[in-house]
Amino acid sequence: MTPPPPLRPTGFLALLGVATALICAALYCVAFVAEPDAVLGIVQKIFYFHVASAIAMMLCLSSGSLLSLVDLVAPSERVDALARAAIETGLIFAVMVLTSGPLWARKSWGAWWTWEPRLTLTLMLLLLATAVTGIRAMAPDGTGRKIAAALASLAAPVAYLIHVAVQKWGGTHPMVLKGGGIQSPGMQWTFRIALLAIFSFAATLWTLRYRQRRLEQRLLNLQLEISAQTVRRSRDGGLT
Amino acid sequence: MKRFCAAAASFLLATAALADAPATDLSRYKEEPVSGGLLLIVAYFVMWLALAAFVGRTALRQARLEAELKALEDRLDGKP
Repeated sequence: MTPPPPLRPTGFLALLGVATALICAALYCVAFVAEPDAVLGIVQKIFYFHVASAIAMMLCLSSGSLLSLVDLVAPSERVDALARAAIETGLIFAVMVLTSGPLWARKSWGAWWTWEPRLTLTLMLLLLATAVTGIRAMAPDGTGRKIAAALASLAAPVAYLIHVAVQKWGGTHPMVLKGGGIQSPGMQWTFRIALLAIFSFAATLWTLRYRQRRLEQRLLNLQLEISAQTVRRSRDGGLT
Repeated sequence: MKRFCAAAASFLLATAALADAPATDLSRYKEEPVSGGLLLIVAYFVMWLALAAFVGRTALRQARLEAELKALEDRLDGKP
């Protein structure tokens, strides 16, 4: 078995630097550039990171879903590592969305949670990603890997349903982006920078987890090599 | 494969059916007495805490893996 090439940290550190700078810029814009909403007040500022995290969650989980499907059809260590990293990154953004959302909802809707389409579907996506991560943690290879990949492949359709939920089924979620909800330049720029910051942070986390998965695979290869060497040595020793 | 397709179709149909359920009537809820500023701070705190916990856990795991890998490579090279 050929070991994977050594990992180069330069690109990763550059990505981390960009993500950190963008997050600092986004936080500054949220605090000082974006005006408080005329109706909802200051609590509306949750929007910038909440929506950006939701988009990052859908992109990561959809990518993880498609990569899992590829891994299911043509198993590959590299694709598996990419898919697993994408699902785990998507999961952390799902947690961010479902913790920041209820805090905003409490002020704007008067309820922490309602069983409306987009919320219900997001909860289902979170549970799906949790199940996939849990299965992989308990059974990293073999059947566990196949079951997890099959389950993960369902994430992309659910993410699509989340995207179209408000148009298809209505519900209490507002259509802020398509409905022209943010009109002031300050709010628009803040949202753009927050989106960039969250995307770069998602890319950083994804790369970090991917590198880690590859390292684990390399470690496993080395352990197998050592075991083979030990067996060879003991066999040679027995012959002489 | 057939069983997987059937299970996947059932899951997606159930998901769509669940999403299509009647929405909660929000008029029965009272206005939140807690200030928006506090909710904003809590939201950002929880979000960054979750991210920091994930990054911290990943970094610790990375350091442990790298140390383990180094020890194994040394062992393979015959170093003490």
